[in-house]
Amino acid sequence: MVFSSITFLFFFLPAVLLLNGCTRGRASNVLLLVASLLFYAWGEGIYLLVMLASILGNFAAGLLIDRFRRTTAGRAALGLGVGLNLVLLGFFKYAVFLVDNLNQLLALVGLPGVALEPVHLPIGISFFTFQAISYLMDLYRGTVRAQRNLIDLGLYIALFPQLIAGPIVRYHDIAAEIVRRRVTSADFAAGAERFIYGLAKKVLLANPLGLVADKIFALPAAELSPALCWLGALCYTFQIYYDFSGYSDMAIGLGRMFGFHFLENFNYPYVAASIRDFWRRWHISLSNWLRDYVYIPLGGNRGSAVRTSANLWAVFFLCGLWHGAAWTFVAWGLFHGFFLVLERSPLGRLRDRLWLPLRHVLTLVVVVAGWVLFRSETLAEALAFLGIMAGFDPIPGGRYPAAMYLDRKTVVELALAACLALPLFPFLRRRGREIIDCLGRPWRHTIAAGVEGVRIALLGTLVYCTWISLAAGVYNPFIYFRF
Amino acid sequence: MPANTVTACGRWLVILLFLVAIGLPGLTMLLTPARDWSEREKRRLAELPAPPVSAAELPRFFTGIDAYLNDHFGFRGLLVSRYQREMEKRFNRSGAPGQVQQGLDGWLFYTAFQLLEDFRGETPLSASQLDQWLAEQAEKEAWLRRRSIRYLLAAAPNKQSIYPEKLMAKAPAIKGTSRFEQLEQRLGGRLPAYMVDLHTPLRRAKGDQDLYYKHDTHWNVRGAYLAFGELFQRIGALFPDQAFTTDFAFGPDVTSYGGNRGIGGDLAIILQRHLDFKAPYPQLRRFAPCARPMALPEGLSDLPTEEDRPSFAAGCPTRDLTAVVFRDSFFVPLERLFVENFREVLFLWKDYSQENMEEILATRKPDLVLEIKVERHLFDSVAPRPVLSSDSRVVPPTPKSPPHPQPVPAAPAL
Repeated sequence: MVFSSITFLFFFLPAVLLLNGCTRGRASNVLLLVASLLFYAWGEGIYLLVMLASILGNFAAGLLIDRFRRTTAGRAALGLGVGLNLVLLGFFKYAVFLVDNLNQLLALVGLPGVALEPVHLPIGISFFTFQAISYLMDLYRGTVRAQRNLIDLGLYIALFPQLIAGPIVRYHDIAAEIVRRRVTSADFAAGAERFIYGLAKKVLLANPLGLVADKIFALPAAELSPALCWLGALCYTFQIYYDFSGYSDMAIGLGRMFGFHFLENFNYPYVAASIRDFWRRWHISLSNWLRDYVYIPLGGNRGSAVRTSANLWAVFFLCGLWHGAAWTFVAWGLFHGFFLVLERSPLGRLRDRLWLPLRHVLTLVVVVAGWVLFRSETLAEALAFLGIMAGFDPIPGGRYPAAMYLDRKTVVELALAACLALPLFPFLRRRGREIIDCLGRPWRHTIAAGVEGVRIALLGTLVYCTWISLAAGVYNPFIYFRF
Repeated sequence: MPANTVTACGRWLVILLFLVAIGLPGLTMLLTPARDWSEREKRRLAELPAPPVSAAELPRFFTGIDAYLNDHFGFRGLLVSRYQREMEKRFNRSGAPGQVQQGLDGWLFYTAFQLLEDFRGETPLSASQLDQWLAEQAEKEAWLRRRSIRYLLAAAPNKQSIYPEKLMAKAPAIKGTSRFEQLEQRLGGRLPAYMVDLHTPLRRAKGDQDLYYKHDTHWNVRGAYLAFGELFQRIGALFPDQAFTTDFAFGPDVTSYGGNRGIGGDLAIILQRHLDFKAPYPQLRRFAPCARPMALPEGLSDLPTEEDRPSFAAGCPTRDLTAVVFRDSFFVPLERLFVENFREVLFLWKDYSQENMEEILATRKPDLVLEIKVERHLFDSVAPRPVLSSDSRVVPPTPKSPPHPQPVPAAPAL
């Protein structure tokens, strides 16, 4: 089940909201946990057991760490808990990748390969294992207290708003709300509004732009032209942002409707002036996790420049690998690591003196190029694609004109995607408030009412556009003329 | 009005909007009787799945529930029709992405079953698939020939095969080698003796007169009549001692909803706009038919039961020959002309079936077996196409997606 499905939107969510409204305290936690497990089982079936094993394992590990904190036994318990999480993640996500690579090496030396049946990847495993690891690490460090209620810990690990696509929530951010929370009308309205924005981003921007990107990336290199490649890369750049940030918005919005306040996960990453700045704006919960649990324990930037660079390479190697079990993801991670290291070098300091708009453009070019690596099926494909983008066109002109993919709808979507990637709304909101505050009382209220009206009209329009698009997605006329 | 009142009103309006938007479709579904048929989509709607009896059945059960809710949620038809209207009004685009493409001059084209990809030559058959297909047809023909039954196969061309210039402005630039053209090239431009070429005569004749409906996938009566003529040229060569009736006169064009079924074009039906398009189309003059309905042989297996996919028998008592026709909807306008030339014709709405032929041979021996199907399904036995391409849905299956799952599972999830 996903947030943009009919089942979730029109049946699961209203039912859970209604039942949650009728429950309080512990009953609410039980309800949300059951709902979250049902949500997970809906798509994953028997792999719900993986989730349950994770909850039980982390609960037990947490109690052990708490009991033996700051002792060898406590460290062992931490190691066991983190190890179990990593084994879970490693097996389901990386086993096939590792075996494939091993078999390639074995084939090189003429040895028979290892046979491994395809392993199903349970949805969200990367997120909930990282959440669980952060809980155990914070527990060991003493920044949180052990959760002694299995239901409450289960709720933290399995809570459906952030289960399948983040943000990666730290236990201490919601520990108090797990035990006691209150949903005000302000929270609910803000959550609803945020959910609508997130769903609209996904359905109205990410999905259609993704269609264009898919078509272009599916073309063989000989059919591509530089313009077409740039179009495909830009479409994917917007697709991944609106898809991912849309899911985060929906998660944050849902969380608020149930009384949880998750931290922001995106902050207009495409206005970053450097790759370092980009990672402070993109998937913030992941970059914070990597900083706190990998980069800093490795020494961070406290050592020599060489050591800092090595730490950055290591972190971004893991970052790439976390995103997927393929060398293209690793290459993407290392690509970002390279630029992060470069920005700390004398060349980077030289770059910092450039005209600010130029720095923004350079950063965006690097990010877009990175997304090509991320999106491509193989490194060879990615390099060919990037080569054509840079003007090394194997067959001048290619076969398909870029205009073939640019109808009115796509142009409108691209324009909206580009505008909304800028922090226009926060700017307009700030300026609007400043202007309103300067006005006299009657005008202030009138204009505030007008602005409120426009906001609700916009929300209504978004609901309309999103709802009709979702309905079209399940419209399936019988192909009677099949025969 | 005080600012905090404005804010509070705004807040409650947002809550009301949201709750109505998510609650009304489900509530409407629960309070209204369920339908089992969609007139818009021409198909049976999903039924509630049987409850699971074991944990292993849970995925099937949940998938069944999803399918049921997708088909039955409240205001579904209204939302879909609004989507199609908005697409056309705002973007001049088909409201059925992945199924219908708006071409030039008001022409509509079918794009399901990877038809655009086939047009661009992106779904070629491998050499072994072509070999396998040719072997299958040759085996069919040989089996029938050993029983003194003649076999003919014809492919009714895809609309874009005859009217590529109407598909889009850049059509010539993107045209590749379609699967049918691969077959032609493989055989050096000459189709097997048992195949009747309908592509060449239709392309040659298209000229100033439309041979296909603008808003339908099918050929119109003029195109069908041309195909009829080509078929009977070949049938005449197989049975030279027979005098066939092949001259039928056309009346004046009719301006109405048209389409292969006369209720509007099937592509317009997908767009739910079949009542918006009236266009002139050719009609044959009425004639006094010789043919009469007859009874189908008993016990023929696996015949479709839907009303709009009928199998039946008919024949003209003054004729000598008998035939079995395995056909699809493209043959519908030819049926009443074809049957005038045979003592008995069994019209079966399916692909050639060896099982059916053996059942038929138990009671009669036809002189001719004709198999006619639309080009897009010609190679289904070796390389069937998915119904909807990757761009058919609002939510596409992406080979490598952003790091979280898509509703259509094809991408690496995290």
